Amino acid sequence: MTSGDDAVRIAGDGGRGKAGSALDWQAPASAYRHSILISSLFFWLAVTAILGPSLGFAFSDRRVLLAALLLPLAVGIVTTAYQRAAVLRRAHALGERALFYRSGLWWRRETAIPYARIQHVARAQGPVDRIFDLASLQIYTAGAAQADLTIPGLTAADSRLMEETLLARVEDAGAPSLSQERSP
Amino acid sequence: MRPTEVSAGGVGDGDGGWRRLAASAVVPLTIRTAVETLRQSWQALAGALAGLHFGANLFASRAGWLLAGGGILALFGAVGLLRWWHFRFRFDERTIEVREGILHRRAMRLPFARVQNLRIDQPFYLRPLGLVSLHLDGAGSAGSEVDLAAVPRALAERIAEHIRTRRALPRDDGRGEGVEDEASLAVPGDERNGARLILSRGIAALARHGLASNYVWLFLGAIVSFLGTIGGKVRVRLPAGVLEAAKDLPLPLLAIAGVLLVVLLIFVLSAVASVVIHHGFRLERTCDGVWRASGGLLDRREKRIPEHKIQALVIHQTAIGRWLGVWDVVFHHAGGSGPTSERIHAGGRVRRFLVPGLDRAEATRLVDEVFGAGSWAGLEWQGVDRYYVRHRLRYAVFLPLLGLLLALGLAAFLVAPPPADRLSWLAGGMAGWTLLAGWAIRARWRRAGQALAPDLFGVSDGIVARRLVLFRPFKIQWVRLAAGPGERRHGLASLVIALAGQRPAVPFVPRSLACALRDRLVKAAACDLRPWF
Repeated sequence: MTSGDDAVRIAGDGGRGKAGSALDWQAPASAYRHSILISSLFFWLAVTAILGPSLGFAFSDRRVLLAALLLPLAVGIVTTAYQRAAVLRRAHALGERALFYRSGLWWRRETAIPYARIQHVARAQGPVDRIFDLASLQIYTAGAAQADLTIPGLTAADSRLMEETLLARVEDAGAPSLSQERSP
Repeated sequence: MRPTEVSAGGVGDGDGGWRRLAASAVVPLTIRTAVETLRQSWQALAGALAGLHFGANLFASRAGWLLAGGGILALFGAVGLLRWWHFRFRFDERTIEVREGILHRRAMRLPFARVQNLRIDQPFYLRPLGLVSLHLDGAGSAGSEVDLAAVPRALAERIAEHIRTRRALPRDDGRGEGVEDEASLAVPGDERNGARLILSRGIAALARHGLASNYVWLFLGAIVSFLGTIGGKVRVRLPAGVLEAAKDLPLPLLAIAGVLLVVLLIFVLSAVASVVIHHGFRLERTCDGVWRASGGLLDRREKRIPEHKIQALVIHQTAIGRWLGVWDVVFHHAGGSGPTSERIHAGGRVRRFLVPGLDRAEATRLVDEVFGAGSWAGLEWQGVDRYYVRHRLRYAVFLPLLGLLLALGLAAFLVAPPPADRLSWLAGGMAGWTLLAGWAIRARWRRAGQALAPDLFGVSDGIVARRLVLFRPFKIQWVRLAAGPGERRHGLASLVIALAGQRPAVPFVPRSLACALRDRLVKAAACDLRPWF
């Protein structure tokens, strides 16, 4: 992890190159790409299983049935390839003052959440995640009703470690007590 | 972090201090499952029932009804049971930790220092067992972060006491149902005598607000809906002479007169509504920093926000407001990102209040009152890059029109070319859309911008109307830089700023500037020790 004023360091080139290297960007676990593949496979198989026979029987036409089977397959291949490629862009970094997360292949996003604003964190594990011993970390602030940031593709051990680290940093950042809040 | 025994009389400590809820928690968990399913998936449930009805003729007999009802209840009960089985919680001196979920499992840890409200309920079915439900709310989501559906009262009170000690919450001596600590509502020394009047609104100002506000559109919708009915009744009751005279008037004149009459009626109603809602409006500030707004003719309401809980000031000018020179200012409190009803009365807490019908000088004076003298004048507004116009034109005009032309060409090639008269209409529509979209995009580009002062940040947006969001930099929750391929090519980025209840965005600024702004906001949130919530 980095030390020093990372926010200022990355200002120069927006978190890339020399200044960006000040942050220790952590990529998702390698198993995450397999997890995406399996999840997509299940999803598109389900779509194909529902769509294909329904349309095939409805139109009683073998060509429609073939199209209904091949179209989800083609869409599934393209979206899965995109998702797997997008994993390469995903990374998180624990800065001195904030948690950073970058994502997006086409539309790129870099999110910074100051530790002092994190309300709580949660770990989530879907059925496919459990197969690969993966978990995602959900970060909550007061900015939205749902999780403000979800970091997927962590190993279960890393997610626990990161949760501990984040909570320790949140504590260090100082959750203002109500007595402080009451004296503007 | 070892769990420690803050509690007494557990429900049954498991490994590592993990506890299970009492078995009677199956009931509230089943009810919660049913409510969540009905709320989130009622369409799917209705579809499945319709399928069973039409496919299997299930509801033709009483037995079918019983079967369907029993099946649904058994399903919800089974899910409730599984939810109870997988639910575990534990706590130590600093945090409470919850594990839950059947297929999709979730482990959540809430630091006690982040608990904003706690509530202890005792539903009727838990009373004989001496159990209660404990709900802990942070600021991070719409509902309760932690719901312990059935725990012994002694344990719940121990946890509550521990949180109060950690947070120095005021002690609530009430016991039993609905015991609630509204920590975030606690207003220090709110004495009316110490309040200073900031501004008050007379009938003329409120009427101007009514003319400029969105009430106009509400009334327009209501009147248009019932126009036919009203028209029929008026026609029946009009004297025969009037109807005869009207027959001699030219139709366009009648139509214009009718429209003008309806418009006049809408504006009058809107002005009256504004006067009724805000009558006697007063905005005051107490000596210990509590803002208080009061007003209303029929239902006089008073809303209060301690100054340190103000997340943002939104200064808004509608299209008609621009013409009349009327501004509205809205004080935003935390938690306003949900639906409007939630924003206004989330858990009974005031989330925002409106200061209506200001002129520009009054609006700037109010900004200076909230953020300090000279705040407004200190803001240096900067616009966004001109590439914004090209980019938006590409997506809103060029690509849709290209798609339409391609579709037309394909249709002409495969089926038949469209008739010439339709083509002229189509060309007219496309030209109209291009002009309208081009004007709207350019207008929005001119409005969009940001301003930074030493202790104030502003974001401007709008097309015809104008909206300014002003906030102190340390109030931010998170910041996001976003850039599409076009923006990256031109060295630009968009900045999205999340506040508690607002999410203003600054599009298409130079990436170096966006990064500098992001860094400054993050630094302010991390280093500024003033309370934000």
